[in-house]
Amino acid sequence: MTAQRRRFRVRVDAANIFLLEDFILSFPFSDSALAARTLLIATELFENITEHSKGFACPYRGVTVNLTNTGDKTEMRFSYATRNFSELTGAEKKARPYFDRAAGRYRGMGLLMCRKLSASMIYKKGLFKSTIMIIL
Amino acid sequence: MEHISITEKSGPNYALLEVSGTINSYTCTEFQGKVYALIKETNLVLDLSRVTNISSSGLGVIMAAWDDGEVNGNKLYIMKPSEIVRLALESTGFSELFTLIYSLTEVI
Repeated sequence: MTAQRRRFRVRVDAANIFLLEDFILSFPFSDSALAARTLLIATELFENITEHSKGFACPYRGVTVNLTNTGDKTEMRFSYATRNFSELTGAEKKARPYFDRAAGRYRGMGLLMCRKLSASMIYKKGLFKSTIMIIL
Repeated sequence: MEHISITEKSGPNYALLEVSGTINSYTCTEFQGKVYALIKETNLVLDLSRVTNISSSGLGVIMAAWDDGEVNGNKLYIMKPSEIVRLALESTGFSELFTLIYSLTEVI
């Protein structure tokens, strides 16, 4: 099978979640369950980045998403410039659901879901740009 | 473009919300408002068969509504969850908490 590779870049803005959805759903996945898992993980990571990541003093804050399917393995990478990546990796280790009175709903499930839906997740902190690599 | 559509209907002992589209942090305010208002009054059936994506924000609303139902003596049902909703529920580890139904005749 020929490897499939697609790249997508989008501004960090909650409204752009729908562009990311379109990108994920346009990828030629081998089955619908894999597409669903990828979509759920991508949604969680993008929501987490838009809500919690702090960028550098740059007018454009973007996220690059790379999706690769080599036949026996599907991989997704999120790369973005952030100055608080270690907060994400710290939160990933102690993620658990809790009720947020201000939001009026339960929170803290997104990273748990990502962990459960993926085969593995690797966090790579760079000086400026950091990467989350997800093996599906 | 509309990303979420919520239609409200009522039965003898329940309210029904038919949801289509995506439930995420961008769209969940409308979903949250309707769900919380109804579960305080009556049993609530969420028809999620046409939900194409759901994030932990949406799941967090459903979990909080389940709590509200317990407090108010009402029951929350999830009807015909789409494949992605079922997968999301299972991934939280809380799927057994919810009553899944496939027909409105199952509402007690």
